Amino acid sequence: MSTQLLAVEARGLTKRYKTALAVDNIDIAVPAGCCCGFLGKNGAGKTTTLKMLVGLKKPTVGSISIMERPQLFGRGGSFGYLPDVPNFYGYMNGAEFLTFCAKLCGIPAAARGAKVKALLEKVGLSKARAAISGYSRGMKQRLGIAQALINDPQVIFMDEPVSALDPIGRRDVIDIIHSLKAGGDKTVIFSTHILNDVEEVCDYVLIIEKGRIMAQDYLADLKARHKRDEGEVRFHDAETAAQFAAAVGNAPAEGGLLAQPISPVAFTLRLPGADSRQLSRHVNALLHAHALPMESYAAHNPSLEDIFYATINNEGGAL
Amino acid sequence: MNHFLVLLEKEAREILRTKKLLVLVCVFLFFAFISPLLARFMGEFFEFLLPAAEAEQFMALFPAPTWIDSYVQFYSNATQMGTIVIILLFMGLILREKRSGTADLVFCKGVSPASFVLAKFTVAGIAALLCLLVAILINYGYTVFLFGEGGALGHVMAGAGAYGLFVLLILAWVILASTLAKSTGISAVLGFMGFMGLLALSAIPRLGRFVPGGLMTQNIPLTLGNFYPDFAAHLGVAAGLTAMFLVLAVWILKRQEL
Repeated sequence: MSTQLLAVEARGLTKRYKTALAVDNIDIAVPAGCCCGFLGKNGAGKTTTLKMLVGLKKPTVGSISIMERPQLFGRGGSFGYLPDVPNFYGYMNGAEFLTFCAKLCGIPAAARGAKVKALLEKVGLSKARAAISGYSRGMKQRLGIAQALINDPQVIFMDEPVSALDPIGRRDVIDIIHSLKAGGDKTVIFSTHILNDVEEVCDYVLIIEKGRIMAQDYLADLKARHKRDEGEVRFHDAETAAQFAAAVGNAPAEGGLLAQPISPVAFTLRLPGADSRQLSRHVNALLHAHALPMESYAAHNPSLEDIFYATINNEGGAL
Repeated sequence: MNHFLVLLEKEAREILRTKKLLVLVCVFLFFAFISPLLARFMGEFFEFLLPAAEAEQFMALFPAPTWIDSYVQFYSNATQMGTIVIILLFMGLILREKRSGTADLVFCKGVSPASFVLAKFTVAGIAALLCLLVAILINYGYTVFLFGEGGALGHVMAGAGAYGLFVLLILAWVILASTLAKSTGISAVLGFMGFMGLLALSAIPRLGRFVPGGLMTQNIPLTLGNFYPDFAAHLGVAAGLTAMFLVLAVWILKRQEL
């Protein structure tokens, strides 16, 4: 049994509406200090789950702990929360809104000004003097992150922080998440359906589909579990590729190398029972024996996209 | 700084910057200035508009205006148009925050629904009462200026105070409606239904004794120093209903999912 501190733990979490089961008896265990990507298609149950975790929605059944303290419906906490479409009091400016949040969080007056200034600088809004009603979507998202960090929380929940942002806005938000992760003492949980962002910044992954958690683990462990001993060879021209196909077809004694064409000049290769290193050696020997020049050879490492599709298409249940 | 005080400060800033206070001040000042004028010069106004013979007949129908007519004009404007403006200005107090998501951010920081509701009620109530106070004092001064007398100031304040308590009752109802409603339209309908309902119920002979509609219909007797028989009962019921509506709003908000 693991003794690792869990930043977020949920047991048997269920949310049932009149006509739909939005979240179906899920268990979540996110270790402290990690950056967790919460993945799922639109409507998979990400927002409902996050809202239950932060106490804005009441679970039909189930219990939640944040940093090993019970989290109850209707109670705030010392965590930070960024909603999917953050809205603010449009008549305030960014500094006024953060000061308001700082007061709500009980930050002493002496520390408030410096805290607000530091956060505005961190999210790139220190020069924004206008009322929030004039902010762009990206600016609002950054202000939303700043308010989520105002009380220096150990756990930060972000609901789709990069959706609907332009590439520059998205880059800014991802960089902020990187900087939070770099500190090492915060747990960031953010929902998204942009797999590249998760692959770039997260070290832990939750995958939800139709209200059920289909996978949750460290990204490295998930990748190791989904690793396939496959490679991809690419030739300069179709003629060489055809010669390679013939060589593979004429050499059953070579150990059963399987070559699946993926284009006129490229093949996916697999050698049953062999790992990626043995496969690479085997392919090299074959190419050398037939004097076939190749353009490139690469071992297949599963991307998060491969894992995601494999996971949500897994009919057998959670991985 | 506790949550209630922080929210009080935020609500005060909101009512100033969103121009709600300005609208309220303008509406009540308009009533304060126009009412004594209308009362004093209504006869001259018709004399000017109508042919001499008809004007003479018209003037014969109505006695010469007195300072009391100034308050009659004021309360007929304030209790109808003024109350409608108050309902329109504050009908989205809770609903708007829930729908826009600002309530999510506030409640995630540990704010209680009680602080949230009471801060809104306090600021809206103080704003409305201040506007009413300023308006009735201006109305009083202008009445004295135009008619030479304006009644006993204490009695004038009693008449306005009764309407002020009615305004607080309406505000509490509007806040409850705004907590219950899922759209601004429904919130507005509920707000107006409460206002009309109170007036309708207070017109029912036996029931009217316990429905505080008199606080907005009996202002003239109060201004003249005549405390009508059910006045104390109406004060008590209005205060009780105000508290009950606020407690209900908090209770409902606590159980609502955002």
